[in-house]
Order: sequence, then structure tokens, then C-alpha cells
Amino acid sequence: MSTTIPGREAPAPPSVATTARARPSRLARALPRTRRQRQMFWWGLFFTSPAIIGLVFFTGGPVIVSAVNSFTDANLLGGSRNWVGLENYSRLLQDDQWWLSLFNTFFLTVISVPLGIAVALGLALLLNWRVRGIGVYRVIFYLPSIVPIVASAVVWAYVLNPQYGVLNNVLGLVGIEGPGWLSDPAWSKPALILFGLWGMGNLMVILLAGLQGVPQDLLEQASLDGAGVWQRFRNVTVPFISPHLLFALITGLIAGFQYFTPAFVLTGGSGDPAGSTLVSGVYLYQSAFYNYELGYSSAIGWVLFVLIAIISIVAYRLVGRRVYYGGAS
Amino acid sequence: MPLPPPTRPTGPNIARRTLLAALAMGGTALGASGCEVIADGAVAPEQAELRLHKEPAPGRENTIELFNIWGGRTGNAWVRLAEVYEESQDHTAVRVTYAPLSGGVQIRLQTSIAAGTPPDLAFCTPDEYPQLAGYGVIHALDDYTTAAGISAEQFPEPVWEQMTVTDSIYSIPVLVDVNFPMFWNKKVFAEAGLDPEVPPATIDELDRLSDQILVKDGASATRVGTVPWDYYGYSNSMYTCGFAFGGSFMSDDNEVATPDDPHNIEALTWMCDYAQRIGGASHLAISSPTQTLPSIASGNIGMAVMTTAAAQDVSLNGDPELVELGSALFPYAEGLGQPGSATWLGGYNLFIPEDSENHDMAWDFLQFATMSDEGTMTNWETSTLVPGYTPSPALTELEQDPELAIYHEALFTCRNIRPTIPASGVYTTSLDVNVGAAIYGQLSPADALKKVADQVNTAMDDFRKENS
Repeated sequence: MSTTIPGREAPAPPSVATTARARPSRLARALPRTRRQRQMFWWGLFFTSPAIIGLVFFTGGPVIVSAVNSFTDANLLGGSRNWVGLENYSRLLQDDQWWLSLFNTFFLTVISVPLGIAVALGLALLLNWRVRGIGVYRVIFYLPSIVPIVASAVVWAYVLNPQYGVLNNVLGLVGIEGPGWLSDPAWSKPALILFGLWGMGNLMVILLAGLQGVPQDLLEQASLDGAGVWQRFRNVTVPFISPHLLFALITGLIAGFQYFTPAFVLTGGSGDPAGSTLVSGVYLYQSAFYNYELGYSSAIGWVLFVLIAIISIVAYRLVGRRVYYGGAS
Repeated sequence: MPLPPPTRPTGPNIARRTLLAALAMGGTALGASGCEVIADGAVAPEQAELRLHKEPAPGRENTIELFNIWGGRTGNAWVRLAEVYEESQDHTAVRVTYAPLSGGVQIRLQTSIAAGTPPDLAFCTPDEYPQLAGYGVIHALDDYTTAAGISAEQFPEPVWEQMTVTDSIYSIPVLVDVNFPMFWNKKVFAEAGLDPEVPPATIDELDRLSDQILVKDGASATRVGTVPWDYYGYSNSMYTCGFAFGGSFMSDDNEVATPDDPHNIEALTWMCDYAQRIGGASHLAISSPTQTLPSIASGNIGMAVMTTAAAQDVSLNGDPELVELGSALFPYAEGLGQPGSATWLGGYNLFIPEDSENHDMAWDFLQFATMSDEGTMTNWETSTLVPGYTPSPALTELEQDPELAIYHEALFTCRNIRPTIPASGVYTTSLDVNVGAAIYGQLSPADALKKVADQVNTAMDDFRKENS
């Protein structure tokens, strides 16, 4: 309960207008206010305009066109296009090849994303050691990720060759008869997963950066308190790199559902053997470029987009709440 | 405040360094130990001289453009052909633009057609032109062919049949793949105790010879009679074996796809049984000896099918200690087929895109390439390309060639064409997936071919509906 002392009137409450002046909106704060700032703003727009124009015309444009096409019977080579409503989407539900491609995509994503994170984290932990020449080792393990993926895939086609390939010859040295990696439907997807580990360098570098941000004093305190290597890793290191792990998970899921190039290069876009490498991206490509069905392939693309969005949001909601941002809000 | 050191040392550094070095070096050593030197794997010196692109000759009244989809000798053949054409007249120059296939697809051609800026001439497989014609992107050649007096007598029967499946002539064969004669390796036959001069005439004989050729190392088949699902992909394998068993892939009126014809099911059942006899398709442990040579050159396959270019490659570059080829018509199923009944036509046709600018000059080149002595002989001499034009002297040379004469016999005994329909792409991809699934035991032969029938006929119905 407030009281008023005679002769000392309480100050008038600030008006709404006063409050607005005191706390300008976020947009207002972001806009240039001085002449100098406005000049800088326009120059900034000028220099970024090629990228903006490219984004609008070469990304935004196709996105809109493909959304429209997905409701038409458009073919790749032009000609007339007729509105078919949801026919392309309902056709997907009855398309065995689509379901097969979706299964293959899920299989590859579910296995390769956690495996890739585990391998990249393992390498990052090794490369976080302080030893002489560590830079050389980091370069060696990073190198594969800067080799163009098509060139890597061609090399791996030889590595996976059942008769002459390095992999089966190495397995043969220890008495294991290697499978026909890319010719056997049971082994073709594991072969693609194996190939995917080859390019883990980027993720490894991100996790390495995360590991270098783990406070050493906490690790030392834990050690003094009797925590072992596993306990320090589990209770100190992992929480501090959890934002990086979340990033790896989300981007890995997105990349997994967009999987295309390795399967396309290693199998020539056929999905062989027996459709075991027919992932959704390859099926979309087949529909558009083999069968000229631009409308149908656009529908495939949009369904994939929605799936990716849903799965990414769910993963973010489920895993994101467990992420520790080092005390930052 | 200075940042803490990146890590806290917890043991002797040398152990970590050793571990990292061991990982890096060990991986390399392990990889190197698994490597094997493959003789003749490098690009041959003469290949380095090949050209795939050509600028037009200067000072000509007209310039036309041809999209070249091939690399190697065949790609070079089109550059050479364009030069010979330019030497044969003085009004038209030819630009040859290298526009390679990507996963079997002519992306550059498709995008140029969609953009309304196609080349003056392009290639298509003979089974895909009905779809392109249905979309209105190919120029009909009837006026030109009528004026030139082109008729059925100038082409082998199946070639003409394939050219005239639709209401107009839209493309002309520029190279005819006669799919396929069977080549047998006399060395393998001799090693297996078989008469190296006697190939199988029937499927039963092929089975009997295969049983004697088969060698297994544990679960792996290291020498086999043939690989009936590897005749240039599952779909081409299915066509070859289906025709050998007297099967048909389209109804007589070319309106309904019939991959589930009982004879085709019988053929696929035979292919699956064959795979089982060698222990399963996944246990085949035979690869090509080099990047370019076919697997029969490994000396571990008794019989295989090959294109003319591949057969010539084996003859020229194969190891004579491992391979000595004989050739015959592909075997047929007794009571269902007859000699040569397995053969069908593949290859490539030339067509003129509707939106191109210089149809008359494009036709002039097309006629030179496909139906002139000089043009067809140039293709034959530079890359052993077999023309579809009966009067061509190249066919006489083919008939007299000691190693390739079998293609001449196969061409003139051939009665089959691949389904030439607006859904040929769906047919191929569906066969690739479902025949493969049957070979690996995931589907029964009947179910696999039924799925193909459903998918192709649905695609045909959709095409009719959308392009009515």
C-alpha cells in the first residue's frame, strides 16, 4: 500500500509514449538512424545484392515454381501443364518405388547420422590431444572432406570392388571373405554408410572446436574429486559440447534426407542392386529426368521437405531441451 | 585472462603421438596392403588424343550444332564425322558440343529443349522417341524422308519397324546395337575340359556347359559359365532372356505392356535358378580386369554378351593368355525360341529438335551421317559404329570382319525391338528394380514382372490422359 507524503507529490507515471521512446522496438533499433548509418546500409545492400538477387531468382523462384508444379501434370520438356490438384500427392501413397526409396532413406539416415557423430567425436577427441605435430594429423584426417564427393565416390567404387578392392583384400588378410559391397542388396546400404564416414572431416572440426571450449578447471576439479576418464567425459565434456552435438544431429538429419550424390555416382542413378540404393533423392531425379514427370517429382520434393521439417523440429524439441549452453540463457 | 590450454595432459605424450601416428600410418599401410596393381588400367596414350568437341569451320553460310554425348573413341567419331561432312560440301559448318550423359540422362539436352534453345541435332535411344514426339519436341521427318525416297527396303526389318511405330518418322538410326550375340572364351572352355570350338546353341546346352565351367572358392563363385542378369543391366538382361524364351514385352497393337507374359516369367525363373546354382548372385566374385575391359576378359567367365565396341576392345586389348573369343547367336529355349530369337535392337538415333532453327541443314547432316556411304563408313572406321542402312558398305565390311561378322548375322536374323512406347523410361527403371529384386530372392519372378506390368501400364495410361 503506497502513501503520499504531503508536499512531496509522487512523480507522474510514465506515459505509454514515453515508454515507447525509451524502449524502441527491435526493428527500430536495427534500422539505420544517422546519415552515416543509412549510407552504410545502402552500400551494404548494394554489395550483397548479387547474393540477394541470386537467392530470390535462383532459389526462391524455383521453390515457388516447384510448389505450383506439384499440383500440375507438368513435364520436364515444356509444353502444356494442367492443374491436377492433389493427384500427384495421392499417387505417391500408392507408389511402391516411393515407399521403397523412403525406407532406404530412413535406413541410411537412422544408421549413418549417429554413427557419423560417434566417429567424428572419436576423431575429435583423439585430435584434441596435445602432441607434437598435431596439426599434421588434423590435416590428414580433414583432407578427405575437401575431396570432391564425386571423385571420392569413384575412388570408393574401386575400394569396394569385391575382387580387386582394398577393403575386401584387407578383410582377406584376416581371413574374412568380404561381400560384394555394391552388388549385394544386403550390403549396398552398409557400403554407402561406410563411404559416408570418409567425409566426416567437417563435423570433426566442429566437434574439435567444441572440445576446446570445455573449461579445463572443471575437468581438473572433477579429476581431483576422483572422477575417472569416462565420468569426466560423460558429466563434463558432453554437456559442454552438447550444442555442437545438437547441431550435428539436426544438420545430419537434414543431409540424410537429402542424400543423393554418393548413391547416384556409385550406382549410376539406377538404385541397383534390386532397388537397395534407391533413396528418395535418386527417385526424385529418376522421375524428373528419366520419366520427365516434373509435377510428380516436385511433389516428391515437397513431401521430403515437409518430412525433413517435421523430423528436425521433433528432434530439436526432444534433444534441444537437454542441451547445456554453459550457463548462458 | 588468458585462455586455458586446450587440453590437460594426462600421460606421456609419446603414447598419444604414437597412437595418432599409428592410426594415420596404419590406415595408410593397411590400405596399401590391400591394393593390387591392375595391369593396363591407365588411359591408353591414343585415348589422350581424342577430341569430343569441335568448333564450326569458318566462312560457311550455315552453322548447325550437334550435342555429343559420348567420350572416348565413339565421342571422337562424331567430331571426325563432322569434319568429313564439312569437307564434303561448302555451305554448312558443324559445331560438335560435348554434352555427356549423366547417369544415362541427357541433362544438357533436356534443359536446352525446356529453355527453347535446343541444338540442331541430338541423339536419343530408339525406344524413347515416342515419348519425346508425344511432348512435341521432335520435328517429324516425313517430308524429308518422302522427298529422299526412303523406304522399308533400305533398312533391316526390325530397324524399319522401330522407326515407324508412331504415326510419323521422327528419328533415323545412326548406330545400331545388335543385342546381343554371345561370345565364349575358348580358354575357359578348354580349362573346363569342354570343346573350345563348340558354343551352346540352346539354353539347356548353356546350362550344361555352365555346370562344368563353375568353380567355387568357399561360398564365392570364382569362375562361372555366364552371368545372365548382367547383360548390360537387369532390364537389358530381361529383354535378352525373355526373347530367348519366346516372350513378348508388348501386345501386338503396342498398347499394353506385357512383361508378365508367361514366357518372360519362365525366362526370369531360369535367371533366378541360374543365380541359385552358383550360390546366389551376391556370391559372384568376378570383376572386370580393368576400368574399360568387360569382365569376360578376366578369364573367369565362359560366356558373355558384348557390344561391337566392347568385343573389339577385348580383341585388341585383352590378355591372349586369358581370353580368346568365339562368337555365336545367343542360345534359345528349345521349343520356345529359335536361332537368333533372343536378339533385339538397341543403339542410338539422330533427331531434329522441333525448336531448333535450321531444320533443312540439320536434315542434310542427318542424311549424311545415317544414309550415305561416306558418313556411315566414317563412323565404322573411326569407332566400329554399325549403321541401320542396308546399302551402306559398312555392313559389307561388318559381314566380312572375322571377329564381328556375328553382328551382321544377328542384325539380319533379328525380329525383336525393345518396347518403343511413351513410357520406355518407366519400363527400364521398373525392370531394373524388380528383376534385380527377383534375382536376389526378394520377389518371385511372377510377382516381380506383375509389378513391372502394373507400373508401366499405369504410366502409359497417365501419358495418354495427359497428352490426349
